[in-house]
Amino acid sequence: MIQSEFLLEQTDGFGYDAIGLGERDLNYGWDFLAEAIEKYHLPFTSANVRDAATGELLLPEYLIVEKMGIRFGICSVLDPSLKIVSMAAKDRQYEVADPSTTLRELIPRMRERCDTVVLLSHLGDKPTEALLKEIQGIDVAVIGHMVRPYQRERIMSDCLMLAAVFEGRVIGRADVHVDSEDGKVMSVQVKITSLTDEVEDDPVMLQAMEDFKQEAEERRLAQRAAYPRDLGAENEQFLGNGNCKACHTQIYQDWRHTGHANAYTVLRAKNMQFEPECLACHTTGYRHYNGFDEQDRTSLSHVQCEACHGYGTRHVRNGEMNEQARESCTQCHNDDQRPCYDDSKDVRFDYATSWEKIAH
Amino acid sequence: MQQYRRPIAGPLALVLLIAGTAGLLGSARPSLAQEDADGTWLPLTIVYTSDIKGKIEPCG
Repeated sequence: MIQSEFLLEQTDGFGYDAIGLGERDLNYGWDFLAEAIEKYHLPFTSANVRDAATGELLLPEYLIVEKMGIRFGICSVLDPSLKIVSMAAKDRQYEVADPSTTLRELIPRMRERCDTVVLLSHLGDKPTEALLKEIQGIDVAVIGHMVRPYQRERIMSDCLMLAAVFEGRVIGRADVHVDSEDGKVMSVQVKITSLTDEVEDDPVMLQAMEDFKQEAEERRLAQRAAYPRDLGAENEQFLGNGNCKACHTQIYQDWRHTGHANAYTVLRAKNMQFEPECLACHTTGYRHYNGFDEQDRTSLSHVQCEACHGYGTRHVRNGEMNEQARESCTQCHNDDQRPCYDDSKDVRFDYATSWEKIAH
Repeated sequence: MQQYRRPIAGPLALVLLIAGTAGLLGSARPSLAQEDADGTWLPLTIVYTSDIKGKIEPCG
């Protein structure tokens, strides 16, 4: 939660004109988001998410932003099939209306007040395409909730479609010409920039992030009891690579030259060890009985044998070993976490090629 | 084996910035000046990104 709050606070300084609501924006409940919106002046909008009890929209139905005399009407829709999971106690229930029905009624109203209509579509690529074939009057559609691969910009039904990419790893810039007489987009030139380490960091933001990480780590260590080791089998043990090595010397040596053997070091280098979500994939047995803990089980740093193959005690006792490594891979190498992805080259995790890096 | 995975939580779905870029029409692409015979086209820049998912650093 503190990471999200920090992110929302920093967003205040970015100068965004609009933020389309996604299903995860309500993970900490409406009160958390509403407070952040007010505190940090965040221009959220959503045309189809309502309080189920009252039927009222949570957010402004659309926003009007004027630039160079052109009135941009910006609305946003969320895919009703995406489950809104709220971790807040006693949060309200939400209702997500059909985007097509919503926009069929809304867009004509927007066109009466706006020159150019922009849709922030949290539906993904194909559903947005289907929507644009049905609904007229949208000039620009920015697509979120994309599942890879994605298409670059294109025109459909007189609408400029722009594809945004996961986790803000890529920034899209569309230089357009808009006809001031009717708000139509007449030309477009798009540049996609991958936010890799080659892109220079803003020094002020960098310092803010480092300060935040330090604070978050201190808080996590002070609240270790909040992250008990209560997963897995209480009567089993992680033995650690040092024990695996005794019988599997060559495999251990091979492992030492893989990224897995450096996973925790990489995390510490980024100062992200405060984040439990990160520790789960960068150590062995985090939150499990007898699993990694930086105070008394540091021998389970990195992604060791047991992270994929299961408890060492089971293996020693009866030779049992989880041989379905592919399933272990995708617990961390997936669309949510995305290590080994390269968005600039449209590369997703591929088991066959990734296996080559750790073959043993 | 890594079973501890709390749901990844947090903002932001889609963010958008529209900025005016006055004065670029003539210099950017000469053909545009020809197409925009009435001189009513205005240059703007749309900056966009998505699915921040509450992470200040991406994975990997």
